[in-house]
Amino acid sequence: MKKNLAKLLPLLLLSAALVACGGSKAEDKGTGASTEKAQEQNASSDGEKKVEANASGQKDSFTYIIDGDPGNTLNPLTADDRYGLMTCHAAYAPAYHIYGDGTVDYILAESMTASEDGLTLTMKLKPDLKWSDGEALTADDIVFTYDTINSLSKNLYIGDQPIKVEKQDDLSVLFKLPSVSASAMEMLSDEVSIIPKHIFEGKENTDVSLLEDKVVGAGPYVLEEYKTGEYLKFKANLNYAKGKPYIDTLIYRVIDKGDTATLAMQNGEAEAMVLSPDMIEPYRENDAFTLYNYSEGRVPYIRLNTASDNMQDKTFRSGIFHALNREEIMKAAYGDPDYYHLGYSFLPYDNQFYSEDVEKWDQDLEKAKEEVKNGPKKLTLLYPANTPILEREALAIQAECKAVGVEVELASLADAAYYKATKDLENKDYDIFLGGYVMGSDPDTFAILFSSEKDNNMNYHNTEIDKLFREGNSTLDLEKRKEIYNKVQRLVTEEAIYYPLGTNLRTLVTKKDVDPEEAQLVPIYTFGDLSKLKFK
Amino acid sequence: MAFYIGRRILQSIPLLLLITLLSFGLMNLVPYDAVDSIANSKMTEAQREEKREEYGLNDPMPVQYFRWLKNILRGEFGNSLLSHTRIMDDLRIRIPNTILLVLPSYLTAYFLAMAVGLYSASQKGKWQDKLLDSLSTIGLAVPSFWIALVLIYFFGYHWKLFPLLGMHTIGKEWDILDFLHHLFLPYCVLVLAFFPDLMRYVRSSALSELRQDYVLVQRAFGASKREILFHHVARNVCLPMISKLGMSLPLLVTGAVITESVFSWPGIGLYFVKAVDALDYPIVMAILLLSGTLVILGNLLSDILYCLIDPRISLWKKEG
Repeated sequence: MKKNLAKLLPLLLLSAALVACGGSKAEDKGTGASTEKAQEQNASSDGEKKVEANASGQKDSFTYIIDGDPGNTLNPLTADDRYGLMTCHAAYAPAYHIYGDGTVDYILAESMTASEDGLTLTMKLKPDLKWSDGEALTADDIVFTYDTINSLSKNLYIGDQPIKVEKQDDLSVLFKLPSVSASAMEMLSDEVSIIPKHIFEGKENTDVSLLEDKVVGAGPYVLEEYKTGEYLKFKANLNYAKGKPYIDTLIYRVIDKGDTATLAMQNGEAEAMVLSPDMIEPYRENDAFTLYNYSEGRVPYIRLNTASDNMQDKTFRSGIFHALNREEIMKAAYGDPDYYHLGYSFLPYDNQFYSEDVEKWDQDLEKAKEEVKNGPKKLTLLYPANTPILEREALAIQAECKAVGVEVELASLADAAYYKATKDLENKDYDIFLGGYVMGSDPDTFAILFSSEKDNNMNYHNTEIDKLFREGNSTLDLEKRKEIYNKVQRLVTEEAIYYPLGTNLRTLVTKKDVDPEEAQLVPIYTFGDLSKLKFK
Repeated sequence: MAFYIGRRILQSIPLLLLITLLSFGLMNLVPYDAVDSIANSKMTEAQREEKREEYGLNDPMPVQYFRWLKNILRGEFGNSLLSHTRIMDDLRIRIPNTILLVLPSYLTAYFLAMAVGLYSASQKGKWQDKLLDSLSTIGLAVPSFWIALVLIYFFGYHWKLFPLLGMHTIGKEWDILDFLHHLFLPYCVLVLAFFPDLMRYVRSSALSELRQDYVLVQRAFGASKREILFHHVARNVCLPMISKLGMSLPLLVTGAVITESVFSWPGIGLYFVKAVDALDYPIVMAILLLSGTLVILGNLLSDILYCLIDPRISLWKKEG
């Protein structure tokens, strides 16, 4: 026993030392931290002083809180999680980016023009482009990138045929389409990071190890350091096609827990983060912060399951829709009208093709009672578990249906199980689904939801809708397309299967001195052009 | 002794196989898979099918299991299905981070519990005992994330004595003092989380020891209370505590899931929870295998420590 105690003694001492050390150090550092904070408070209480400091380039680091870690391997071509995509957005650049309202931001490309027959797109690159390692970026890299994508997936296929990519000269690339496609321009831009041929040629895959490899890209920033589960630190890319970024250092700080992130934000440890509606309160009417609500193009919706026996009758379905009050549901879910826009079509309100000339299903309780009179009296509603917003939506719907004599039972499933259930078009277990989607800016990207010739996520069987989607994508004239998609929007709502609630807004909080206007706020990445992010 | 240890380790291999087979089977029973967990509305059915094929999720379960087993035997944990990151790289970084947090906290709680538990038992029924007992009950009832948030709020946010989160200040990765400064709050939370249970355990074993005849005999011989407690009772209380120590070995991997998440400590906890949520089976299996191994090793360790501490038990004599 004594022997053992003797063996354990060093451990005891060690832990005692750790305690002591931690304690004393804490005090030392504590004053340091307080001083820093005090300086910060001084600075924010004296706005003008701060501007001067910025102008002289003192504040050159921007910390953005993310609630997950991209992991130690990045694949710029196949990344599809939010953090992987955000890392790509900083370290790599696409040829161009299309904003939600349809404007094109040319980054590596100078222009993209379509031939008269609409079958060839020509991409002109900006002259003298360079990779972050100083090598020249040419048409070869563009061709290499798109060829690699085509060898990996069918993402750049129109029908069964791939878009062919050819180099015309060092600065121009031809994209040959198998058939006319209005959404091709978006397909070629959407999340395609151009990758350097001189780095990836001959490699087995396009994985980049953030722990071992040097990341070479053409994005606004260059990854300097990745610390697993802690942060990603980027330095400005001096060779960036749109000029050197205003801010020298960009940090993505990983903080999983919302409460901790809120304290970190209030403690001045970060410049910006995205908030869910229930995290907004501390920043309202708070002089130290600015809130930005912007559309991510996400459309929350209610879908009636046409596979279920209960939902076969269109009159009954229309009765359910007449029982609902869109505004009440959105208010229950998002709290304040600042955080949502009501909408009546499957397109987000800020899409250039959005139309309100549709069946709006305004609440009409008398009509609803009449319509549901002969239908089933008990329905099951499915929504993903652990999503308080959808739960509140579900509760509002439950109450509204009850008012017309229909009981709604709420069922929630873990994300993956929920997804599987909604994707199963023959599933009869649920009558109502709640969900939301973010698609592209071109209305053809929504075809996957309603066209029975595609995935048909909403389980529609309307040949007229299928035909119109096909026509819409093969028409290049904007006015004609608008006409076609107006018709599609009308037909989709008239079926009484799908009930759009509008568009919910994403809320970004930044410190008062951050100016994100020029950078533009966008879905997923938050800042559209990171190089234009600056301090006031 | 080496023979005994060797035999025990060999015996544990079939057990580990069984553990992995069971966990693999259970994960496969779930009627959805990793691809469902990352699917979004933009992804077409064809793309999802492509991914399932790529991840090998369409193969029958035994094929998937043996493929995984083959990799493990080659010392390869493989890649995460979802982020494609090398699991080995993540574990190599995250496990030491968790150990750095859990080990000092557990040992502090352990030795503190020994001392306080014995003291409490010696004062049985008096106000000191009642106070300690109530405190430990409160300690057991209060969730650690709440303690964590309260500590962060006061010490990190309000008084600014300690950093709120993380393991280092960015750019000071090799500064030990900076590390200890970051360690202090999560360390305190974990000590508070581990302590009450251990303390009550020591107290109750000490109480049952105090009822033993040898205590009466010692008293009859005129031994002081202090002598009886720390010389005789403590030794016997050590025995069950040793097995507690062995059994707590897996805590080194999974001991601080919640605390890690509140403090954004880059350890293994949250990594594991997220992988389970997303059915990222290579990660889940790797961690299960590790903690399973630690359970077995912990048991072995307890047995060995038992023999070292208690002269009445001898493993190798039995072997002979």
